[in-house]
Amino acid sequence: MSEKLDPKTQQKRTYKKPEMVRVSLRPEEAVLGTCKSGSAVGPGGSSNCMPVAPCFSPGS
Amino acid sequence: MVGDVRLRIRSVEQSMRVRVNRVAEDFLVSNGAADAEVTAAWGKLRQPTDSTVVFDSGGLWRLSRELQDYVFHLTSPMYGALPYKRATFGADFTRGEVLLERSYFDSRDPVDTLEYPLDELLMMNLLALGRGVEVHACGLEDSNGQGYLFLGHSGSGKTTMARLWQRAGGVRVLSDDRIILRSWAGTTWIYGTPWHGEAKFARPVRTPLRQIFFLRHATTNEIVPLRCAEALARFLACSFVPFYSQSGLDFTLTFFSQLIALLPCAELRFVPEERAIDLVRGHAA
Repeated sequence: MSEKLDPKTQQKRTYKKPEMVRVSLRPEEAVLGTCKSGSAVGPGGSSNCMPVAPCFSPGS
Repeated sequence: MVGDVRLRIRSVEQSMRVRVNRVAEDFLVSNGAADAEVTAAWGKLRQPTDSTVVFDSGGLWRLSRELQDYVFHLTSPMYGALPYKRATFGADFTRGEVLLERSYFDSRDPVDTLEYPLDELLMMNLLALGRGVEVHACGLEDSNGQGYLFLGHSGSGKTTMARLWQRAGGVRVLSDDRIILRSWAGTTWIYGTPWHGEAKFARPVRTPLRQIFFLRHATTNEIVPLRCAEALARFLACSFVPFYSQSGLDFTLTFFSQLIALLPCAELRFVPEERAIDLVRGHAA
């Protein structure tokens, strides 16, 4: 008795060459390590915003 | 209340009044049990010992572990290495104590106890314990109730997108910079937050999410579908997660994987013009 093949397995998928995609991560943004645009950090309000790293750019 | 997560803040000092910033005032609620309670007091602060530090943001804060507690020390170059604030939270972040270095504050003024970045750090940790995820995104609700999410780093066009949609009319912009995602009752919701971008869109409302786009400035308008693996990587790169917490990262990756399985993701290459909005609306239809 011959075994019938599942039609799904008979259809070969087109081979696609794997490709590497680089996704950028901005650590200083991801860890909330810098001032946020328009916000204050520390006692005394916005005049005291002196981040270690650059502030987030105003445009988001 | 942000993202349906209620925070309660109270001072335990007679000489200290607490406040929130102007934008966060729109998120104040007067009812409901708090998900997290934080007390505020004056303290004499010291630098954390290096042996206890488990994560250094490289900027405004460092995290230490003291027994089971998470301890954040916040510093500003204006005041040198001595922290101006120390926040201690239990392992589930439902209770916390914030100590403020008295010499830095004018005790006659009310204090913004959870001032950025502590407010977002607390929310990030509460969300990562099974509640949801905060992402770097513009979120809005179209006139038909469809929720759109536009993710991207600073400079990718989130505020530009928010302004374009606002100008087109018939929409509610929830935020032009920070959105909270939560899933319940078979739906993923996007929530506005007080942490706005340059255009200062910050609405304390939620709407069901229907479309997800990662933003990219281009010379023509185009929608390019993303494969699941790339979408997952880009979600992670545009999210705020506790990188020091394995369980938090596990939850976040699972959350994004389930979301991507339900809603396709695409890159929106766009020119800052109204036709980009037409393209998105046409894609949704």
